Amino acid sequence: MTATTTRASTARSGRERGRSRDSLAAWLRRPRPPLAPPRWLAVLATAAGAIALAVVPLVNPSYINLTLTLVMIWTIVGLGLNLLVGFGGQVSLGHSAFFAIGAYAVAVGGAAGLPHPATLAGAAVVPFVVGYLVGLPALRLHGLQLGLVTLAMAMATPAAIRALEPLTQGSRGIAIDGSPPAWVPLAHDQWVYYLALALATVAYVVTRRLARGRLGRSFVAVRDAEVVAETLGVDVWHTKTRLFAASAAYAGVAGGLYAMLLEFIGPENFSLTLSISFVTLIVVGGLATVPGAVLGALFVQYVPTLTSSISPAATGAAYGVVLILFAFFVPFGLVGLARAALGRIVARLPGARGT
Amino acid sequence: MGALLEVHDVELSFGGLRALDGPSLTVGEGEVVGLIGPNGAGKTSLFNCIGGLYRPQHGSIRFAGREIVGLPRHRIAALGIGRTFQNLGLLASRTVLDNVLAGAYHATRGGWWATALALPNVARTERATRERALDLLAELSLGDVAGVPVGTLPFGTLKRIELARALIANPRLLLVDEPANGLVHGEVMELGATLRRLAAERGAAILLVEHHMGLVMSVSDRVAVLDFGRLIAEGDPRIVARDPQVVAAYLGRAA
Repeated sequence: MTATTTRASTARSGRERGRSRDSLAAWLRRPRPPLAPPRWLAVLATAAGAIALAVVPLVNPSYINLTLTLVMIWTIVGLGLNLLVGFGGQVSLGHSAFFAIGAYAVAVGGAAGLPHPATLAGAAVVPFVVGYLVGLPALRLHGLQLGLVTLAMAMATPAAIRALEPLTQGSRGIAIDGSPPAWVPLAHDQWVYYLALALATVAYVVTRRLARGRLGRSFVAVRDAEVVAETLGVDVWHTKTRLFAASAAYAGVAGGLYAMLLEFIGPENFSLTLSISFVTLIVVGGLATVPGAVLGALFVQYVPTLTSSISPAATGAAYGVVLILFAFFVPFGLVGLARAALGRIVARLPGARGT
Repeated sequence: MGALLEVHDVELSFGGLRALDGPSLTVGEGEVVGLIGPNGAGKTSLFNCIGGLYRPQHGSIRFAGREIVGLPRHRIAALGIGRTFQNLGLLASRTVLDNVLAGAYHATRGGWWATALALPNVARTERATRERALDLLAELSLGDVAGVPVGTLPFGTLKRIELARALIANPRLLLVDEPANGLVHGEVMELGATLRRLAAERGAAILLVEHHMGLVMSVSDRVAVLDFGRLIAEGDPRIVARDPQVVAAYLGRAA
């Protein structure tokens, strides 16, 4: 035990010496293992977070609940997209299409008189099936070509919504009743908040399980070396199509919640910009990390507002500068930044687990 | 009931270049067969035909009595054929342990639903696999680097990690492509002994491509010699080493 501790501390001081020689950028670029907080801290933080998230909508004005609900909606999209892009290595610029399909599943289902649980289930199932069918031909392509096909999907989405007017009511837009059932004593914003919180929590837990262990390793193998993955017995084709369909289902559920939150949607809600912000989310949050989806969601929800308050005349420009700075200085996203900043502190806490 | 692996009259051409010109070869259950020959003789091509990376234009390859030419690669792996690569096929961003665990993919269960619902057997399998991986790493003297990303390690170490990754799935046949590459002499003989022992413990047969003659001769039950895509000799290592055709293939034309 003592020997282990000594070796660990020697290694640590070695790293610190290394750090002083590095430039800041090189230090930020160094890959790091995930944070491994001691169990008491993990339990405490989870409990505190759960209580805060449960109480927040009861004491806040509705517009704050609205933005927080949006963060959870983006989180769900990010979790699924990161499975596909970050872990599985398959680029998609087209997830706004699945987001739209989920939103319209809820809208059309609601108009037909179905209850919320049924329409939200539809918002998962329909995009899953569409994603699977789109993935069958599209995933034969790689890299930029796959990016281009999915980009075309995102570009076609508003037009497709207009073209399917009998179902979607086209450019006029469609209203959704997002209010809670009679037996729930909550306002609309609180109801959708709790729904989103519940689904985001489930999505987070499921994603973490998929990303770890046997399946997670097969995703990474497919991303890093397809031929090697096959010689390990991974059915690459099956893995890719499943990943694509699953990530479409995540985006669909998020879209369904989005429709319930806004209570009115039209083609202009599902432009290409939305897809771009999904990709921004997972890159800024941290590719191939699970908590990255939460941090990235906070980023795409709040940072544009923040930059527009700094420079109202040049909203896009300020946001662009922030993104460029990220590309240079935060290569592993906000999660990487957190690992760099907190890794040593967490490892020194009493009860710390070894990495 | 024939041998475990039966390669029969396999022909493979790339454009006008004939890489394999009808060699036939068998590997018995638990047998260690060395495959040698000058550079470009077709050794790795033959490996790639067995593993399904190349599809021969002619001939048959049977594994455990079953034709495997044309089978998808992941199915061939799942039948129990493991391999290492000449120029490595490790996942550079991942740790040594993760790489070895990835090798257990087809030997373990745990699908999407079971994983998403965290069924108890998923966690149990993961724990058991982890233990086996750590044992295997310790046997290959890699215990100290289990948590290190493979991208930072020297070539010789990486070869052994690949071996661990192939062994963890308990293959019935292990294709090993130049394991001694990048090792110093002392390590080579040690690797040979370890390789033989690990294979014997698991009942795995080995088909070994290697340039290091000492290793091939000491480890192999039988040796097969390829030259220009043809099998020119086969049999007991000591006899093959004195075969005039073999000597010519290695020394004659080089002079």
